[in-house]
Amino acid sequence: MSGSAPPAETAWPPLVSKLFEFLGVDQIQYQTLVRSGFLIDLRASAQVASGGRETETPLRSSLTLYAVYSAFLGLLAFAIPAGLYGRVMMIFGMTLMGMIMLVDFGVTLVVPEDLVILGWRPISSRTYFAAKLTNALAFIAMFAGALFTLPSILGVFSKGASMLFPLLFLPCAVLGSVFVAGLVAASYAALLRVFSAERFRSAVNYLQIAMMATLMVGSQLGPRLEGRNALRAMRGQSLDTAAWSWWDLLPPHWFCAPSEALLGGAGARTLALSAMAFTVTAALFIVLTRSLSFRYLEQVHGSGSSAPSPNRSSDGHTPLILRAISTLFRTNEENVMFNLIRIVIARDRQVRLRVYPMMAYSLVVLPAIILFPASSGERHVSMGLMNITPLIVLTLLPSVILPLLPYAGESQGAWIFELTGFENSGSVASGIKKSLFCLFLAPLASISLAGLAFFVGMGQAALWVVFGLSSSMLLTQIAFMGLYSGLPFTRKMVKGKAASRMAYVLLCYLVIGALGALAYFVLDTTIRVLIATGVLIAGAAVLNSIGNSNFRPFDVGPQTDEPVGLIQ
Amino acid sequence: MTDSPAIEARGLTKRYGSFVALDHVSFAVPRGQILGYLGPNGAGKSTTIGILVGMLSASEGSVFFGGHEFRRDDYAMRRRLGYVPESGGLYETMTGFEFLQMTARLYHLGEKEAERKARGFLELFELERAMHQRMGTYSKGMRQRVLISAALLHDPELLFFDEPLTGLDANTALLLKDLVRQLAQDGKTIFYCSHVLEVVERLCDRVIILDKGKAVADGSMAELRSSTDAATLEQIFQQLTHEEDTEARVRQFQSLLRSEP
Repeated sequence: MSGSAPPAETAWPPLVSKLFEFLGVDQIQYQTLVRSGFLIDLRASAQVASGGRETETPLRSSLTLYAVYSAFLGLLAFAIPAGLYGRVMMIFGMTLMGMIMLVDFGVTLVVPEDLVILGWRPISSRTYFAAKLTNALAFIAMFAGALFTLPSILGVFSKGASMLFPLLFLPCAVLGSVFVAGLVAASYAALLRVFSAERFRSAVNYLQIAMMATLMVGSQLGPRLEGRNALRAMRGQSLDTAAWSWWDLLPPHWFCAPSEALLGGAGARTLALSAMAFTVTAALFIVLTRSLSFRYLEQVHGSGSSAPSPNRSSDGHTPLILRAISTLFRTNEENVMFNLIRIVIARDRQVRLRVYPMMAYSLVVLPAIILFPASSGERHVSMGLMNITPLIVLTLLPSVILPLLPYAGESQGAWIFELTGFENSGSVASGIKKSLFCLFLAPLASISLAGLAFFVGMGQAALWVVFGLSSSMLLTQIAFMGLYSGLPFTRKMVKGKAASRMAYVLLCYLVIGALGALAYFVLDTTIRVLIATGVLIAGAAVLNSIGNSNFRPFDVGPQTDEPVGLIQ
Repeated sequence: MTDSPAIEARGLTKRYGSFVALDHVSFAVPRGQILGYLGPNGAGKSTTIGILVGMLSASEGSVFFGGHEFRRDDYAMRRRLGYVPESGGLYETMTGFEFLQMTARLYHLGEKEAERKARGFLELFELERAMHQRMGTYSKGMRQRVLISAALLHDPELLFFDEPLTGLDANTALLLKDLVRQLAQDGKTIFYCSHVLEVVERLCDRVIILDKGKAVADGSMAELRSSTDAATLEQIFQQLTHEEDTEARVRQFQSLLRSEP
């Protein structure tokens, strides 16, 4: 810091002051920035968690939710050996931490607005970075505590665990969380080196979507794959911490290694993986210290000020596929809704960040069923389950996508509909449903078809995909009528409706379960599948006309109700 | 140091890829002068300020304050700057009081002094009743008053205003204009960037007009009038920034509004 700075009045111990001096960090500014950072992040996280509206205790709610969720998974401790338990918990915790960093608290590490607020003030990059790092580590510690404390304690009850398990596993888990957070931040920094400022923003968007999709898939598949080992272990084999496997390429295995080494005896594998964990985390933070500065913020900021990049559709020509799809949308209202949903999803980063990973999440069913361990613990594919995969994938989709479409205030410009109104409400409903079909169901059906055809042949795959699609259309009608009525982008979450909506959610899952059971146990011939498909399509058509005629675009419930957060 | 201009830009250039936002702009501002910096949208005004206050790096050129070259890591120099940004510039989740207190502490003011200054500025700008509310709930004018306070409370020598009157009511705007004049009389140098030509005409000692990243005019109002044969700054601005005949454009709008779908 500059030599002209007035002397700092501080009560900090001389050793700490000397350390700050050695690091070139201004003590008063650091203290001020850390304090303000906590204030801003806690309040900002409150708004993120509540979908832009302020609530009193969203952070506490989130932490409690994560703690309860991880405690449930921690019950695995009573079933599997300590080593395996640690790995499963580490995979789960690290992926969840990655998601938290990407969606909720990425803001803690990269704050472009800091450039305008602090970038011109006499604050060195080192002071700024030290404060940012402190804020980020505090958040990581808070979430790591929520995610790992109870599972660490429960780990004592896993087979072969000692009383030291919590003391050894928890620090490893926190280190793993620090690594994940550092990885997210370092990925941003690396993108800035690879991409020009003009392309940085879209590159960040795609990176976030790819990371989120990977994490969602990983959080489902990782523990399942470890579960295959669990079955072997439960048959009497103990987990051999000395044996190398391809799974050791995964970071959660590195971060489990120190506790495995200390609990089960240090070997070449556990020592090497432990060294990997510490080295990679340290390397990440060296990268970060070189990247996270006002210069970095300027680059992020500059990406928004740069000249617009050439737009592919700026020549006025609509792509052929869009023209083909738009023929399905016959009225003005249908066309408006299709274009609105298509454009918002294509351009709104927050919406894409929620929708695309959810699509990946739906698809997890296919590999999860392939990897489903049979009782023998050997590789085994259940053809019955395989056939109903499209049904599960496609019926889950409406329930995960519809609530993710933006709510009131989240999408700029939607207010125009409240001013202009619609001539034909039924057409609006029809447009939303058709958009859902064209933008999500049809692509996901194609992917399911390709995946399933590989195992059961094209004819059989097509049959089950059509069955899945017709089931999904029926579910979409039920969900649309009961759960998500009203125009997306203007809809408000209303507290009073939460309980009644739960009944619809249960109804939807009941229908999915019934359809799954029907398909698995009854539909064993092609003709039966075709008949069931026909019945489902007829049911969907009847509900479609009822739903469309009763559709009210701006039915937002009683105005006296307080708005509630999206995540509560 | 006293003979050297308070602010001097030499050949400032800023490129974003192939786009040139600022193209070899040079000027010098003596101590105590109020410089009006004008230009149409996208002319490079905010980019110039960003470089002058050390927020953005120039692709080419240098900035000098009092004859000393300004480097971005020169924190002693940065202490002498105050900046009111056009937009953003505050944390919406903080209260006005918290924000000003934080700002004062960043300049090493003691806890009590920071609190006193924050409270004083908020009272001066009639924000005492809202000082403990989050700034996200503030109107545009209230935010602007906080931004002005945050730029002034460490008593800087060089002040950079980017559209400071945005959202201010008539009384506060009058107060700010008087304050700017008084600050200049006290020897502070003001770099005043605005779209409001009447205010610039009345407030500034000298005007620079920027168009497409280049300085197209630099002088006092009298000098600009004589060099362009125009009576008002509005007419000068129109001539120099190649603005089309506005009446013709209004007629085009009218015909567009009347046209049938």
